[in-house]
Amino acid sequence: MQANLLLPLFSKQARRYQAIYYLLTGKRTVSNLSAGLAYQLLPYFHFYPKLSQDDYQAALQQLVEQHYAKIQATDKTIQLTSLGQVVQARLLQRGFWPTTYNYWQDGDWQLQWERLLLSVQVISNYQHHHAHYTPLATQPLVQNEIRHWFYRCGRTQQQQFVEELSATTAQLTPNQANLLVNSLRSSSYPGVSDFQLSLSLSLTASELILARVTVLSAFLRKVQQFPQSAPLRQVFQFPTTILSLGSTRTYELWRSGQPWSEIVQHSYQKESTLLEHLLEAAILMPDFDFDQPRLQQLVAANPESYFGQRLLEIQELRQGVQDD
Amino acid sequence: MTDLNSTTIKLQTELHERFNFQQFRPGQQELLQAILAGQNALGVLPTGSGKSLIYQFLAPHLNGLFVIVSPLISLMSDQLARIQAAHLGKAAVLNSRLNVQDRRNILTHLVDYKFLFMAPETLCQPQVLRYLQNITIGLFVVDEAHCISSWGPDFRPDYLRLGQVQQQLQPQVTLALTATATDQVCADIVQQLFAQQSVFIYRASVDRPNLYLRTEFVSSDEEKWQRLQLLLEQRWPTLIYVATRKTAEELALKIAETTKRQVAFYHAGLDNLARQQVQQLFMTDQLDVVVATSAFGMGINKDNVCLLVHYDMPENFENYLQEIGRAGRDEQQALTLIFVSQNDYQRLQTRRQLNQIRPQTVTHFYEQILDETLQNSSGQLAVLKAYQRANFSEADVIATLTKTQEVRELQLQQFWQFLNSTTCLRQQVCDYFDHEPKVIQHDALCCSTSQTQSLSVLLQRLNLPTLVAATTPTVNLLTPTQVWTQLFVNLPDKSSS
Repeated sequence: MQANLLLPLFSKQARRYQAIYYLLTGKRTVSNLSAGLAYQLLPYFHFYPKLSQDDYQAALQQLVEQHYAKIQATDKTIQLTSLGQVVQARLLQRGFWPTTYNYWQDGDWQLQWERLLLSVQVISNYQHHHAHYTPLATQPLVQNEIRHWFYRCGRTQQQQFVEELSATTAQLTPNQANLLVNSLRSSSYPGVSDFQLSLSLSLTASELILARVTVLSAFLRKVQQFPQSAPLRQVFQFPTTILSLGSTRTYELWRSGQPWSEIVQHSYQKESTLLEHLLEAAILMPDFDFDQPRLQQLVAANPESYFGQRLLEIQELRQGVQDD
Repeated sequence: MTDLNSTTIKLQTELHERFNFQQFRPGQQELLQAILAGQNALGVLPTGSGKSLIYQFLAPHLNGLFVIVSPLISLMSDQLARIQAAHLGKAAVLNSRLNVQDRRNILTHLVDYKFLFMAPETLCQPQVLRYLQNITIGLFVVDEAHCISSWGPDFRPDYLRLGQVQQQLQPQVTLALTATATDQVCADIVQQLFAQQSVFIYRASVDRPNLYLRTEFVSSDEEKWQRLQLLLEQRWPTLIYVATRKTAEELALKIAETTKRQVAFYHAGLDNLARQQVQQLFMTDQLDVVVATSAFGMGINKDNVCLLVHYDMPENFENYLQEIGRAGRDEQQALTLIFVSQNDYQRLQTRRQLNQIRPQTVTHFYEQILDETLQNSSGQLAVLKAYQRANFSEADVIATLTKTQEVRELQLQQFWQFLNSTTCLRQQVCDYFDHEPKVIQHDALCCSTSQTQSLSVLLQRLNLPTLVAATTPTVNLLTPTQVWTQLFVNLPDKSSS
């Protein structure tokens, strides 16, 4: 882990570094999501799913040694020093940090990236009659999706896919387009290694990954404008709901107007769990109605409870984010 | 024609038809015949001898699923990709990276698969065992079986449970494979895995006559770098082993900046696709130098690596042998060179001591007392959890760790002696590993040290084959139009690109 790449996640105000770690690795709890909301880092949920605690801690330690950050061991918080803020600003100016990426809108970037690579590889190899090759996707889920997508694609749609791919890439900046196309490969086009690509773009290996997410995010936003039936659009899976399964169910029942007591009565889960589902919705759903009388009644029943306190906190945070 | 001859011919014909090889490598045929006769087998075959071909070959011959236990995710992924690319049968890797749905899909459709790769930790999970017990296991393969022995360099406590698991699964046949096993390690494998059963053992000599062994003494890091530059002047397909990920990245950068070689680094910190790309480009000579940690190893088959450099020294003979085995797989002359430096030796000693698990830490782990070392090292915690899963008591863990630490120390000392010795290096390697070591006829193409012969003289004498320049010396990124031209036959309208 290149330590300075964590700088954009911190600020001159103290932040709970463990909550940020759990956010980056995709641990979906009310506490972590609240922290993401408070620090405006929710878009980076699940950004580094494989980041180990050891590597993260070592990177934090390095930031401290470089005088970029200070750690408060007692409350496990980190805040940037003046020097750290300067380095952070310089890093952001270099333009590779994925400021536009949003997990809840773009989906899991690693899966989306594999979908792009594999779909290009499959069509290219098919056109060049290469039948035996190693798929450029490690996730069985992606392999299955693209296999089914390919079987649905006739000759005309393949050509349409190539045209849509080319047209979408042409809408990116020249640097973004170069990065994207030089990351593709197939049996007829070997491509270059990430190391060679990073050297050519004057980036480190870790910076290249971030630059790639930035490009992918820009690319996906354009893909989302295609109709559902477009072959390129069909390659990607975009989030249809941002809540977890349990939270979706609870939130749907809540929105349908069902009384809370009935929701609790008909559920196999504890009331505290169902209340956490509502809190998750309060954090993530843009249209969550904080002023709804039923919600106020629920809070009023026990205003000092964990739920009541958290909900108030979330409402204030969301208000703050909107004001920003 | 005898039955044996007839079987031999049949196997060779099948080898040619299915794999397009003219003949078996030493040990393959013997092990296949034993397994086809229903015998359990242990194969100790040198690196590059085609161990995985044995179970790939057996797919149409044995009914049921082949369960292959392997220690590394990267190794499993490589094998899986190879089986898929060659269409040898439906295959999957079962590991923690799968999501719940994919994992369930595999487990509920096991009968549809022919090859299932997994780490011992996964195999020992009760849920996995339950599914496996409901189907026929045709072959149970323990790859890198030396991990079962605390005398081996890569001892994994979870491997100790494989004997018990094998009894639960009742496979038709069990095959253990390794490239690096001394007599002691072989005895441990047999005892742990085949306690009460008969087993056919094939042990090939580790000697690879086409590998030239060389020790290169240097007194500083700068001198090491200068010698490496000399080696990199010729465009030989080159693999350079280093000790850490950081060194791999830094050295690759230095090479890229100061030479005209097409270089990349490779380590376990790269994601699967990036690793796969480096392998692929190296295999097709689009890259001619790879700087790698030990993650670049088991299961990677590039035929024409003719220069293999240990920029940093490994910890023991076993790793050294495993790694030099990446060179000269095309059976052409290859140079393997290891830098010998007192500084590196000291660094290795320090790193080893830092990584040692102290008895007090073990006690804290078992008594669930907060331990600073464990809080800061998930590596040590993982090792202790593995022992716990293998039902080791606290005392057993302390005893085993003490023993393995002594073994590691002994192995390092032996290896250091080897590096500083003046007698035939190849003979020493054979003496260390082989059950009945042959007498090596030392000649000009055998081995040398920098104390007796200069590097430039050696390079002239060896005259290794250089690559024909297939690529331009520097990487130029292509434009989108150029990339589309190479990727697709039916190109998009020019106006859109």
